Amino acid sequence: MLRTRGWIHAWLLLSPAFVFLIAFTHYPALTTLWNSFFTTPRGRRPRRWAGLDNYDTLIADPVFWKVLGNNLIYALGTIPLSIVIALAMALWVNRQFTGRSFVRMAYFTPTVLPMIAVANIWMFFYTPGFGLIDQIGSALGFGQTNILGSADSALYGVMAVTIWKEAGFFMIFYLAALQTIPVSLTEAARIEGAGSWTILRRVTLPLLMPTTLFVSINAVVNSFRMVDHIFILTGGGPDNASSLLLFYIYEVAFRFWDTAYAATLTVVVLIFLMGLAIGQFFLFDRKVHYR
Amino acid sequence: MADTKGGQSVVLENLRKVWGQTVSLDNLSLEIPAGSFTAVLGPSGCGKSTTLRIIAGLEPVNAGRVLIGGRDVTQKSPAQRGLSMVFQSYALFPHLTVAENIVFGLKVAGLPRRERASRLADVADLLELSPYLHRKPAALSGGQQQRVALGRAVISRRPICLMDEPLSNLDARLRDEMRREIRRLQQALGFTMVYVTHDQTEAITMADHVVLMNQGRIEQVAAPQEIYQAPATPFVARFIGTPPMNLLPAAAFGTALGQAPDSLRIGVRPEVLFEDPQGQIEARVQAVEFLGSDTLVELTCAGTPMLAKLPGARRFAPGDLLRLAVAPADLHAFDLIENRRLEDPTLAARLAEVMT
Repeated sequence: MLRTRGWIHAWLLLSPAFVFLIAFTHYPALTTLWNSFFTTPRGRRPRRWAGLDNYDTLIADPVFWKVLGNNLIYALGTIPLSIVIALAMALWVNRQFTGRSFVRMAYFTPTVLPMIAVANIWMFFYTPGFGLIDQIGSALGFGQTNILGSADSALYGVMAVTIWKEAGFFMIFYLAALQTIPVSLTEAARIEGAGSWTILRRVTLPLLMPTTLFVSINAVVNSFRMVDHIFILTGGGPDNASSLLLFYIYEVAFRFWDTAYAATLTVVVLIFLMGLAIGQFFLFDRKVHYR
Repeated sequence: MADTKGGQSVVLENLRKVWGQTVSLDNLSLEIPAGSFTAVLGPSGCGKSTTLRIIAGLEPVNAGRVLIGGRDVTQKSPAQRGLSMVFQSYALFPHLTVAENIVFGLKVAGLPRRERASRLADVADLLELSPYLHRKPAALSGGQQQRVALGRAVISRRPICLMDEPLSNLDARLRDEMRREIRRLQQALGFTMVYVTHDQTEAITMADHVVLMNQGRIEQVAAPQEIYQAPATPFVARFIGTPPMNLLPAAAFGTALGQAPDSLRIGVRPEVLFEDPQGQIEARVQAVEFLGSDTLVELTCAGTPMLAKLPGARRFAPGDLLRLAVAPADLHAFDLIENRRLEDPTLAARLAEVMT
């Protein structure tokens, strides 16, 4: 009697969250997969079974390959750099100095701002002619720039914004992890004759590995997920030079209204992300010491 | 980094350490002879750990000098001082194995692999750690972790070893065992040991010299026997020995001492009191604690509480009036204002007269 009641209680407590998860995550994911095997219904023409046609289109689509390449450059450029900057900032604000809380707050501010607001701030930096970068540049005698407007540099302009935004967020995780490392470990290492570099390399970094794993998985996911700023900064242009996978999916689905092809792209991105996350886990797992 | 078998001396000259408004150490001077085992003892907050951290170089001083082996190392980093340290928390690196933990310092110093391995084997043998060398510290018991910390401290053969309450995280039985082990290690390797503890048993059983500190000052530096037999200040008298020494006003001896100053205190250890119908001390029983071989009796004597350790066979009831006596040699005299022991022959003679 009591056991049945406990069982019912458990389900009652779980069901609200469960309903939402199924309705908004699992069911859409499955319908997306299902839709990717059909054509897009248009007007009076209903969808019909297309098998792997959409996947053939995808392989032949030069924009997909361009955008995938962009996304890889974007990931490889932003992830390591934002992690290294986050770690450096965390090590710096973990010390004792006056104004420490102010600096911590300053580093964290980009994280609090919505990505759209961040993009608008950077818009002002990048604006050709009278943006901050050009104002400083012209004062120093450099010519006018158009970072976001040229196909060579637009992606890098977008990446800079991402690093600026992400580093502060990751810093918080590193800072929290640093504060759990007992001071006596550093002191013991100092007594044993280790300099600050050796302590960082042989004591601090290994103990931060669980955080690095967590942060890097988050960074990888974010690099495929965060595209808000592209809407403001470049709109994916010029000529898809700064477009990323998710932004391309959005364009295909809601601008070109090719929902079946968008579903196909989504499935490919999902498989890609799963592979990356699992791979990272196995790659790091042996090196991570969990306390 | 000196690679000597013997120890080096540590000298502290007029150390002063201030945290904001609080004075932690005030004009502290101390000489620790080479190769000796010195215990720094005191209640919590007396500055003993600060003293140790200053010797280690982990804490800067506001004034004064630290000399190790005759060298002024006040401005030197911990690594340049040629010492090792065992922390209260052991401070083992959780991500390294026992072996890696022990040879950490040797590796940092760039010792060749073969030398490292042979020293590791020696130390592992000495501390019976050989079966655990490839485990992580988390997979060891408290006593084994303690031995790893000892191993890391002794493998570099530095002339000075500092220990900060190393046994306080162990249970009582293990603590006795480790106490002997640390003492044996120190005697075998001959380094200078500075051992901080709040436990007088540890200090008295292990050390050649006991440094008793209170409120940032040194109360007494002496051999364990001497600190027990001739405490230099009222604080030392009450700190060393369990139960603590009774400090009685002259009135406790009736009028026999005549016009003694108010600041005079006669120290009597609870264990030297005995019942005697002719005894000069008259005290009323307040409470009784039966300990087996002894009975600890709480008494009041001339308004002052006192303790006596009397034979366990005798039964007492609260309210009993006892007459107690002490052998004159077991009496100590202190002056509360001057905060010191009185070695006044005339006073001693009068006390002897009173007690017989």
